[in-house]
Amino acid sequence: MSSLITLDHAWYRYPGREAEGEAESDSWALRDVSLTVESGELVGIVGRNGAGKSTLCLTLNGLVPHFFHGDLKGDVVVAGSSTRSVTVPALIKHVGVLFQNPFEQLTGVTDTVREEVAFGPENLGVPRDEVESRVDRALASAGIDRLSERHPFELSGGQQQRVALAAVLAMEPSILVLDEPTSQLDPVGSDEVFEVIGRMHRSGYTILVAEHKIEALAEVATRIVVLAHGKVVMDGSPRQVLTKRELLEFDVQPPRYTTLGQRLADRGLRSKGEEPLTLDEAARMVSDLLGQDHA
Amino acid sequence: MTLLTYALCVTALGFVGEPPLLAGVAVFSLILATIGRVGRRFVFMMLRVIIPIAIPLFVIQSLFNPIGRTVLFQLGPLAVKAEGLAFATSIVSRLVALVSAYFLLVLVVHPRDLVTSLESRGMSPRIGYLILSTMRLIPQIQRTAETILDAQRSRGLRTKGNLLLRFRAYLPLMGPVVMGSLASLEVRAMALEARGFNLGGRKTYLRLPPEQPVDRLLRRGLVAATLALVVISVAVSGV
Repeated sequence: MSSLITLDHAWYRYPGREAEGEAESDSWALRDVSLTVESGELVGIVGRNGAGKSTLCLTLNGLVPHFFHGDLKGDVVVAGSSTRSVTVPALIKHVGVLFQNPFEQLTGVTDTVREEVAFGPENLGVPRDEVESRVDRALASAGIDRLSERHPFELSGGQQQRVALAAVLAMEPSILVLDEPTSQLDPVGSDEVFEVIGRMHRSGYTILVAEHKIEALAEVATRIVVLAHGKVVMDGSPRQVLTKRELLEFDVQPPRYTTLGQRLADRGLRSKGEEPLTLDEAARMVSDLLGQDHA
Repeated sequence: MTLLTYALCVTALGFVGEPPLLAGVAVFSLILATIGRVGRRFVFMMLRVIIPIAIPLFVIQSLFNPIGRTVLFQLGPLAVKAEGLAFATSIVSRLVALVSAYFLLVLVVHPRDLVTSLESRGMSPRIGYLILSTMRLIPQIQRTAETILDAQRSRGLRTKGNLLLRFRAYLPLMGPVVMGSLASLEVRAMALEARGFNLGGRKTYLRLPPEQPVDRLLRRGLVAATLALVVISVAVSGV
């Protein structure tokens, strides 16, 4: 069975970068990226700012290179089509993208959340009844059905981001690409968005999420990809990647719970072994250390 | 759509109509505004726009227009002349009729309904988006500008004082506001693209303003009546 997403030695350079006199390899935002994603995976993409996370996200729905232009080398195949040869409108039926800033991705021309979410299906020319039912489903999935008659600009950042997510879901893509969806949200807003991401994954979506909130990612991801200087430098299950000490070499902090486990092991307070990744695992570790029954 | 047709018909009449007809149009607009429960706002907006224009126009035209021959009465050394007064009445009546029709449109019809109606009749969604986003996003840009201004004030920028000082204070605001707006625009353009805005096929509209059979009849009646009035006015003035 072929993969849902395949990047084969993909290189991408934004327009104008080649003229800045930079070293040839530094001018590329993506450098020789090879990656395959299977249906049903939830892939966390991590890396410091400028590592290429956003560019990778934009590559998956064709905005790179069709919107940004620039140079794309290698192959990017999404749902069986090369992003180079199909247009963005053809790809949006497969890939939905959520951007960082909740306010900037609202259309700005609608009066209610319901209208905002309906904007995409309306553009697709979906029959009116189907638009209605898609909107209802998307609002319910994003957990904002009670906000449907509110003005999008009057909502909190977290609520706006869930509106933007519902708007993407209403397009009914099979792949969700989320580019730092919680970077501008407070902790409550972030939790709300991650809760929806987890729910979407359980309902069968293939999700790629670029994110700095590593603890939240460790809770939901099935796989972690680390990018540095536009290259994939680590790739594996959350446990394989996030418990590796070399993670710090790429300016990515492991989850605090993992660090706690490592420090306790370093000080001889626990035997070296499997470090905790999530809050539950950390609680279990502490409980074990204290000799209590964690059941 | 019917009110837009009404406004366009009044625009056509504005070129050829006589003051009594145009005054009648303004009264009709007021009646419609009252039926639409926006009568008070309509009157307030009309007065706010018309009075500052009408008063100077009447004063200047009736006293100083060179076409004035017939003196109606003297105000000290100044003579109020009938021809100038008639000219001012003609201009103001056109203005009142036109403004009344467009204020009625703006007050009664939701901009989104108007744009949706026009789009469903073939207007490009890009133009529709341009109209709506200009109306909605400008207040947002103003809010951003205020935030940036507050930030700059907190770093010692003086914004109070004479005109030159105020102008200079606003210069450093331009860069962040313009560049910030352009950056937002890029993200918004990407988000719109990702939501099929440029698909180009036939769109569906969740909220299409209701269209009664009487609306079409009214529009046709309005256009026919306007054409008739224009023809009559041209014929009469030609004689």
